[in-house]
Amino acid sequence: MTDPLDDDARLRRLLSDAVSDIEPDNRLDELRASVHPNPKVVPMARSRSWYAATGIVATAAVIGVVAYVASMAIDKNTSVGPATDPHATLHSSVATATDTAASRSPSPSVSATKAYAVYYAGTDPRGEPVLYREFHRGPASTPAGVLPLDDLQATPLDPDYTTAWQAGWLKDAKANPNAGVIFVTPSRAVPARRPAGMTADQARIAIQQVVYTLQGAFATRMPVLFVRHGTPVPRVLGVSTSEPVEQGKVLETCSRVNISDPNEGDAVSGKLVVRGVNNAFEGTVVVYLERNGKKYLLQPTIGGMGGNRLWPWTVTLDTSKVSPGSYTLVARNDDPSGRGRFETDTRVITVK
Amino acid sequence: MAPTRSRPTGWSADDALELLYAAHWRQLVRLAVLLVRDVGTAEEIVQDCFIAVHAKWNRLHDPDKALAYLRQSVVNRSRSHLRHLAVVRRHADQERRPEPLTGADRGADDHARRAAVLDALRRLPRRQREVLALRYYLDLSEADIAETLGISRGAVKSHASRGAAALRAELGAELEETR
Repeated sequence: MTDPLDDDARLRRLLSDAVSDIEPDNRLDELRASVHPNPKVVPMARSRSWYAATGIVATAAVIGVVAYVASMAIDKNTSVGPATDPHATLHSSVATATDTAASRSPSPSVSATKAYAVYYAGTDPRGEPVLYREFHRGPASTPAGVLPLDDLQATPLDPDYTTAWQAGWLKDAKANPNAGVIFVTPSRAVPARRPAGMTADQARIAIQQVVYTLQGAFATRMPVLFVRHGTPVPRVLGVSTSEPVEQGKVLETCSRVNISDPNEGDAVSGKLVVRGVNNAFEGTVVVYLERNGKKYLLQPTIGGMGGNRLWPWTVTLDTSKVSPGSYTLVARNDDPSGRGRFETDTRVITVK
Repeated sequence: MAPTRSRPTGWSADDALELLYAAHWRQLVRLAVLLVRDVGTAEEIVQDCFIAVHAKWNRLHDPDKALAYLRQSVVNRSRSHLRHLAVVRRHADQERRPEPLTGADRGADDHARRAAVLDALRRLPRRQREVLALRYYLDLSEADIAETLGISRGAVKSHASRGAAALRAELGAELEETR
């Protein structure tokens, strides 16, 4: 019997393929002439095109920490973390490397900064590339999109993650609800073809890094269009980008378990609140500290299962019960298959 | 609370045209090709839609829906074009349905496969073709398709189901290729 979902996917591919080789003529000049037939009328200046116009959407930049966290619910059907994420004002960050549970209550300094999500590539238990989310913090006054875009092209905090984007490859990012897209400008250094050594899946995930990060930054699910000088860039890293790129399905794109808090390298003490998201069998995720092959403070909890989304979970580990030192914090999804293919995310932290 | 109507100051008809063109020209032309088959005609239709949006810009109730308006406009104008074409052909006694491709042609190469898909779409009843193009090419939700076409969600489901069944029957070989 035909699987209707699979059948839908094949029809989708077939119709997209049917018009994939159609490259319409550029009629922008004709359009300009049509709407301004009088030559004395000042023609539309191409140079101001999308970039200048998108500046008016600067209101999107006014997102505080709470608004930002709402951006985690970036899928109209699905989400990576809830819009009402309970740790709205409590994200760990580089700036709060010595945070403890007690010191993580909102403070006046928090109001001057904002948290934002950056998506990096990692691998799932089968070795396939997937996205992992890291939270960073920066000055609240910085326009939306700037910090996430910069960090996307920098080394992630967690050495388990990587980024396909080199510094300077991606420039301005602007969301424009009127155009229905987020515009991002790749520099000419960005390869149009897939680089040697990069698989097609890795290239797809690299593009989705940009989509997920910018959708989070601008709190929208609008697709992302790669544009240079007002014209869509047809291919980036070998992936077709001639049309706006939609967010990939969460469970086909993101890791099914992801620690949100704390961050790699944080120093903690006392009661450590660990937060994250998952999608697993019966929603079960096990959280523990590991050192020299031994597990400490092991605690199971429930995030969620089903749906094309990730569900939030929170556990509190009493780190006063272990010796000070460096530990690997592990969040591991349950694997009912018994094959030991555990979906995991880790953070190396220091217990003071 | 009623949603705030957004009309950003400085967002002129010219800006809108440039932005919408940069973001959606290619995709809308491709949509029109799925509806009317001919690329040149599709370009003309979409160009007219952009001009119409520009002309009506200051009267659009919600500029955030400019893209939805454009999509609707492309579908409506494609439909008008096909009606006009049918009338012309009847008068000229030249109406001919596209010749089905032979088995040998089908799947022989990418061009043949794409032509077969476009021909099969062309043979579908109008509503089914429109629903399938919006659903499978633009990936619109049932609600968005219903709004674009001005029909109920139930009708969208029905047209989608029948259209997909007809396409599957016609394009079995091409669908197998996509496995």
